[in-house]
Amino acid sequence: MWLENSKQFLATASRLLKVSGWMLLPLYLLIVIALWGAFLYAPLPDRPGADPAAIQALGDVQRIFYFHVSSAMNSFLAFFLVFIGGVAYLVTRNEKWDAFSAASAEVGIFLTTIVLTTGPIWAKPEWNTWFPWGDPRVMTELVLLLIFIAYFILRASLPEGEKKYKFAAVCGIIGFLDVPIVYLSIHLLRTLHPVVITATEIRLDPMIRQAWLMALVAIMVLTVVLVLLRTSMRLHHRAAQEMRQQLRERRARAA
Amino acid sequence: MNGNDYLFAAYVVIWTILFAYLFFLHRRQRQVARELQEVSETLERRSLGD
Repeated sequence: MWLENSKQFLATASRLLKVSGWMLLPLYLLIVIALWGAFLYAPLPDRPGADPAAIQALGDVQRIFYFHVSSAMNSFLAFFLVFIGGVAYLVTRNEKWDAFSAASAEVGIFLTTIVLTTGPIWAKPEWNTWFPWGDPRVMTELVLLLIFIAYFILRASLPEGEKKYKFAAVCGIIGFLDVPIVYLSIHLLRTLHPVVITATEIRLDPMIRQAWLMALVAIMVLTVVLVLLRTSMRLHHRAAQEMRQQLRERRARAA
Repeated sequence: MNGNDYLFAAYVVIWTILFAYLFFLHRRQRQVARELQEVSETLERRSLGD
């Protein structure tokens, strides 16, 4: 019976690794298409009442939009996967779900970092400030990043085992509750961020919308590939730990 | 070529390099997976031999 867990981890990890491998080439093509859409296909947006010279002066920095917004939306997806993994772990107590949650949280942090670094690059020419402290969207997004950094601090502070996975699952589920707050912050509070995407419509020029959808799909596939790859790596690591533990126990018994 | 063409080309190069690295990491991980599988099988054989 021993090694049963590690064999299961290895089998799942190998399956996930294989699937992520198949997705690499399509992902590369999608990213190139998204770059083409953002830099060459999409026009600069109309700014009603604005002087065309001013539009040109702000110019191509607006193209950050395609990857900034797509990364933000996919970070929500990644944190939703943390939530799903957390609930699934609490229901099944299967460690694979914990590995999935932790991998998704890593990818969520990666995407949120992209959002919070590309945002200021865009904010400076648009709003004349690098970081609008007090803006509800920016602050709730920053809190989201800090919550999931805290998630990893919690994980690192506990020894491997059910207690750690249980706490991490609960922390991930509670952390996810900030996502609807981030989303609703521009709808319910006064903020510098324009309301472009609502539940029922996308208020964008058709060509800009198409280019944005290309970027959204590309980053979504990148998110999935990274989650699968990191889950696979985490499961391989767990399998190795399990084998080491079993060997220690065997040695102890033999002695 | 105008400025945007160069920008597009630069980003494609950056992403190509990133993907080459991702592909390398993926291959490396497959190798680690194979090695772990072998270790697991060896341990199982020894355990059955006990």
